[in-house]
Amino acid sequence: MTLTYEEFAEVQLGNMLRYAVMLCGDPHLAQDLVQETMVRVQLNWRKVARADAPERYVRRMITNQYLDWRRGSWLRRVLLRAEPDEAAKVVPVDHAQATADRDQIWSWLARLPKAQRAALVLRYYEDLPDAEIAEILGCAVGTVRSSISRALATLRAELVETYP
Amino acid sequence: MIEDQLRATFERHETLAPPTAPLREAIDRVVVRRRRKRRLTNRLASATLAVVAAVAMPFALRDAVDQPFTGETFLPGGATVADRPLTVAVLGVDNDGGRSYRADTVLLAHVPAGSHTAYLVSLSSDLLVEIPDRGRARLGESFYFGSERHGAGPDLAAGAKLTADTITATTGLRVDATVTVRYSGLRAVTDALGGVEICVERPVTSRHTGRVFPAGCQRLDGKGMVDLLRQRYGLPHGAYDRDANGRAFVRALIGTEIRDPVRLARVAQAASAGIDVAGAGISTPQLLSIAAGVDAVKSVDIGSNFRGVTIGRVSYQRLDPALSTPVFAAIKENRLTEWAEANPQSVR
Repeated sequence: MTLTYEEFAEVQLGNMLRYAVMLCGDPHLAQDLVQETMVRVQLNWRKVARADAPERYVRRMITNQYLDWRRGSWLRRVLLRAEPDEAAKVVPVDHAQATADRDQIWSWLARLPKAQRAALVLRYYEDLPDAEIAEILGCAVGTVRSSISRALATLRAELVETYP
Repeated sequence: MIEDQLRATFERHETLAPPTAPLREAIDRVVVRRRRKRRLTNRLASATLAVVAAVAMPFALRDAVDQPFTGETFLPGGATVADRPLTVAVLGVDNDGGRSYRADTVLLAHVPAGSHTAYLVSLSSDLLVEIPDRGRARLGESFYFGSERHGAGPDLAAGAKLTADTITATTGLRVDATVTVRYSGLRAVTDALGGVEICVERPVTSRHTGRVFPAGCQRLDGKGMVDLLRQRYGLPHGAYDRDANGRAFVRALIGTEIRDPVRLARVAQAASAGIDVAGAGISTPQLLSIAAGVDAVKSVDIGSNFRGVTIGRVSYQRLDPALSTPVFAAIKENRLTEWAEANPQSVR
């Protein structure tokens, strides 16, 4: 039984979209990222289906696309779109202080280098073991660990600075 | 601690994910668009290669008599299929430095109705023929008699027409179109490709320019390529070696990948400027669309037993009716595909 593109999209598209949102921090960018990747997935479906785990293969495609995204255009689009959307959807005015803190973290994530953010998403959102993260990012396990610890250090520093 | 906050942040922002249904539709729409575009590009590529192949074929098949064509698949597949049988005469012409043109190569390319395979039948330019209203001659000379104009430049279209009529008179086959290829066409295509790397077995010294082409592989521009491919005298086996170089050129052309659409367009333009296509009831775009539909090229052997004859100190080749008549009959009755299946020994 070979997996068809339709079956794959039915089950995985939602997961891929959520993953892309965590990477990009912005629903529009995430949509663009997933659309572009899934178009390629569908056009080359036979190759994707031959992979041991198509889902992991596609996740890797999305990650690569995210990491390769040209900085210029990416930044431009973030400036054009990201801030108002987040404000409108995620930070209702009357939320508790705890919520505001978490959204603070969300905005700090946007300032991390892309590879560090991807490593954080894979470990703390997708809950993947370091070996698998290394495979998706195409780097050594040691690199994964050091990116994560560096990213966490940055976030901690921000936290201390904001709430001393 | 920060880890838990991170997890919570991610989870909380899951609601940002857009709905999947509209995205799926958008993906499918883009896929359809890209597939269409891809097909179009492929079709353009194959039409261009068909033209390039038409330019190259005369050189490949110059002496199909001695060295039957290997029948490699040469034109990538397109979509169009001829709804009627089509026979095209490809004429490779050279003016040998003067102003009169002769056909060095006469090749019939036949595509049966509904087929994706082109069958090539080559006729010797030394074939003894009766030119309508003119009498006995070599087939290659019919182009000269047709194109020669006293006090004016040669009329290539008339040369092609008379050659086509002569082919019809000799073989009984209707010729739907002629493709006349000059060395200039070859040169333009080579230049549009940015030069072609050709590998020759033995060194060649040009009688025309004095240039020496060493044995082995070299990248030549259009001018150099034409110079090399014209050389016949001074080679150990004369025309035979020239034809071997011609085939080397074809191999080089086939090996040249044209992926860049800009270059592709340039090659197409060069090819269309360097070759003349004339049809009876068929337009060049129609011809190209049929050529683009061809995905295999086979060579039909009608002449490995060519028997020479000398009349008035001029030697001619003659057809072997035992070999040629069944092929011509099959072409005429649009059953060449079946004939080729039944006679695999004659098809390569």
